[in-house]
Amino acid sequence: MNNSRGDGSARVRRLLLADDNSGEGASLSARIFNAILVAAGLTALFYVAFRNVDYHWSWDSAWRYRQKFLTGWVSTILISAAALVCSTLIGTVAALARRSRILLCRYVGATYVEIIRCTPLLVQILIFWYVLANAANLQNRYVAGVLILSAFAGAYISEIIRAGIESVPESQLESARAIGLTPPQIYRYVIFPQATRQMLPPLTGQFVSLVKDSSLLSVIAINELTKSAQELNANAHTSFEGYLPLAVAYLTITFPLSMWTRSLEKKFLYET
Amino acid sequence: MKLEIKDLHKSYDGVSVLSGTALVCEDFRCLVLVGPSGGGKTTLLRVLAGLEIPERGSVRIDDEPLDFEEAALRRHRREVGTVFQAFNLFPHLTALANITLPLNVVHGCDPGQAEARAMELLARFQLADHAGKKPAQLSGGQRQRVALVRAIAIKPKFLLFDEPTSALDPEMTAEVLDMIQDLRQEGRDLILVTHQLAFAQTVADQAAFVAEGRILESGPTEQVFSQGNTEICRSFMRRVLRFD
Repeated sequence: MNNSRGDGSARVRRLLLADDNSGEGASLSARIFNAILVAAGLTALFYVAFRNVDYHWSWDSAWRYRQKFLTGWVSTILISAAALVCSTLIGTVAALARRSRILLCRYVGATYVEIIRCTPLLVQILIFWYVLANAANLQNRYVAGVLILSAFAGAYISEIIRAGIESVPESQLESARAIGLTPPQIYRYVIFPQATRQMLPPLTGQFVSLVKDSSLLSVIAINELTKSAQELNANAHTSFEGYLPLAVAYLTITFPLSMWTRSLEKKFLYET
Repeated sequence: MKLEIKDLHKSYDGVSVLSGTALVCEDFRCLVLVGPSGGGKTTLLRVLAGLEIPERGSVRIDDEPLDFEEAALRRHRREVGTVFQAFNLFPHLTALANITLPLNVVHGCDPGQAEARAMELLARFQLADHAGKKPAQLSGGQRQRVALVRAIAIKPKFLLFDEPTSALDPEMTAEVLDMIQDLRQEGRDLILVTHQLAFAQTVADQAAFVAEGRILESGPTEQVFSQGNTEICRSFMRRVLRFD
């Protein structure tokens, strides 16, 4: 009797508590059980919230503009992908500039990072588009959008890369020098592979932010996801029918991105 | 090999570490640098390794002057095998890749040949089973032995060891010292900083006593260890050899 009660409480404990602090140590049934709990909680929250709003749904009229929405979704993916590549390049260059022995490079790098980090993205978008792009005779909104987004994310990425580079211990650089590597070789074979491990977790967050930040490009009339949801709502005289799919649509981009960088993290994992 | 050091000066943040270091050592196979901590042994070894640029002075190794210009120093580093106290290996690479990296990247070896050479050396020093392991999976002694293999794989002109056993427990120390002994018996030239004085006596034919940034004594190991001319050397040896 006592024994079976002990078994029961142990089973409940296994269902509710992780074996350790890392979060991986749980059985499949425990993971499914807890996932269902979270999903149920979330559903309840939305149910209660929307019941009180007394909203008249008209999904039919929203559905008619699905093509526009889909186009916006694709263009957000394209803009984000291009900005992801460009911002990583800009961030790498800025991080190296800040470590350069040439003082001017350091100052230019530091000024760029501080200006970008200390002003709102919305302001940067407006100034870039209406002043700089105008002056440079850049008329393609999409190219301009990718550039602004890349410059914005690049500043944060450069700080992540700089911190990663600086996390490589002095003894490693010494060892690399002792075997006769040149400075570029030291970066390639010693610093970057070791720094990547430190950089990936914050980079994941930064890449996800970049996708979400692309929504602000709607202010300069780029037809990305947020803009198309807004237009859908305007045309179909709806609001939640545009915004709820909008949230889900961002999740379909950001969640796989987050999973992908996490799998990269595992690839670069090694003990020290 | 032959070593001539003249009037070396080096300071860090105004603190003088080498102040007029001078040494002439003709025809030795293994030179050991001994002396109290902070006396300048490691800095001297780092100058010889091409990792430190002195403010003044000159070094001649086998009648070749050491040029303290960066590109020349890098060529010099490629020709010597240096092993530090610890953290020689790159943690993201396997033992094998640690050895082949300089062969492939610095010495332009064919990757297949580099791997074959590395595996042969690993096998010779009973490390073949560990070739695929990352440094974190190796013991401290194994790590240092892999570092020694990396140093000899490049066929260096000579080897420089900076207290290679000081971060190890006695058992691991013994395995690393055994390997150094083997290298010595193979006829490799080496310069070594160590606190293992009993070992130094068996392996080194020449010794230099380094203290206060200068070489106060040098000569055959027995002579420096047992009949020092200066009081500071004699008292150091008395205190340290007491337990050996």
